[in-house]
Amino acid sequence: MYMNRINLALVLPLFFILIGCSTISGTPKSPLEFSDTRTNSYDSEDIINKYSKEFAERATQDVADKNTRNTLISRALTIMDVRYAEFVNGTETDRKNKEMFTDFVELSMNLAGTAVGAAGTKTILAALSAGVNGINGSIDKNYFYEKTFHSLVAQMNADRKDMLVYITKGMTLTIEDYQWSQAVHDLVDYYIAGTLLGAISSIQKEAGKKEGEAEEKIMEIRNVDFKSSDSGDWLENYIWPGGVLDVNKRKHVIEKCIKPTALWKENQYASMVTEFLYTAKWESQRIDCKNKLTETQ
Amino acid sequence: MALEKEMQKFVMKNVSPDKLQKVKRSLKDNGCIDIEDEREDGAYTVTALCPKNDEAM
Repeated sequence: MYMNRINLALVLPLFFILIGCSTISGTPKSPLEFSDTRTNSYDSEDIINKYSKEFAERATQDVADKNTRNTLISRALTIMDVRYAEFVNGTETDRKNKEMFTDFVELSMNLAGTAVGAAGTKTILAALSAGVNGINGSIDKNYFYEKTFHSLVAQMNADRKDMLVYITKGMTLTIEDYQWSQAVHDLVDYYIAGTLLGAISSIQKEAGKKEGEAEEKIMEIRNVDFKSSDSGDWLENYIWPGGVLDVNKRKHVIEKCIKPTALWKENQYASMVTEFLYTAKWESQRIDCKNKLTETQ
Repeated sequence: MALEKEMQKFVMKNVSPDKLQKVKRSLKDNGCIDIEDEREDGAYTVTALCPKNDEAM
């Protein structure tokens, strides 16, 4: 009976190990086994090293023609893509799975030790309880790491894609419009976009942006009726000469024409100028405004 | 925590089709957002959300 309890203490964590292994399976097998290729094929390793060395040498040099620039960019992208694929497909996920397994083994050993060293049922139950809590802790720690890691990979992929679109667009431009120094700068950004720190930074920026966005609260609803008028057309052409807003002239209309009217008190929102130009209510004030501005022109 | 921004819902009725874009441009250039229009009996009703005028604050 006592031995059965010890066995239970040993078997229970192993059961959870199996569950853990079946739920966290890492990533699908990559169509390109970069790690194997680099380990087994000296040719691939040589090419990566060659491109890497070339990029390091040329990064600070001038490049005078578009073809050379684009060749260097393509090779730099190849290095970064291979290394990024290795990073994402391999090391991190495996490492954490191994850590999780180690945690379970340690827990099992501790649990067994406690159970064997104790004499009564109470001690075994206490040990089991501690083991279960410990196992839960281990699952949570690694589970959340995995979830976080996958989110970070998604962010890295998105950031890399944005940079790749930018670089690819640059490759269609002339050497004068997209110089090699700019390309190097963009390639470094492309590399950073594929790092965990880059992804965290990107997420923080997005979170900060959302934090800074103000929630809109509607304080009033203002209903007005449109009316077309000659004075309105004149003011429209005055503020938008050639269809483009003239900020100074708009300011001038506000100062000279709107502030002296009741509209200034009635509507203190950004619709003020539109209301002044296009509603029946302010027709006489518009005509006054047109006359005033015509005189000063 | 996000700040609250006081907005006005601006509704202009009976906007003639030939002035629709001018009215919408005016609202946009003056800082209004979410500018929409709906056709009603040959004319348009234009709605927008408008923040406080900087100069009025």
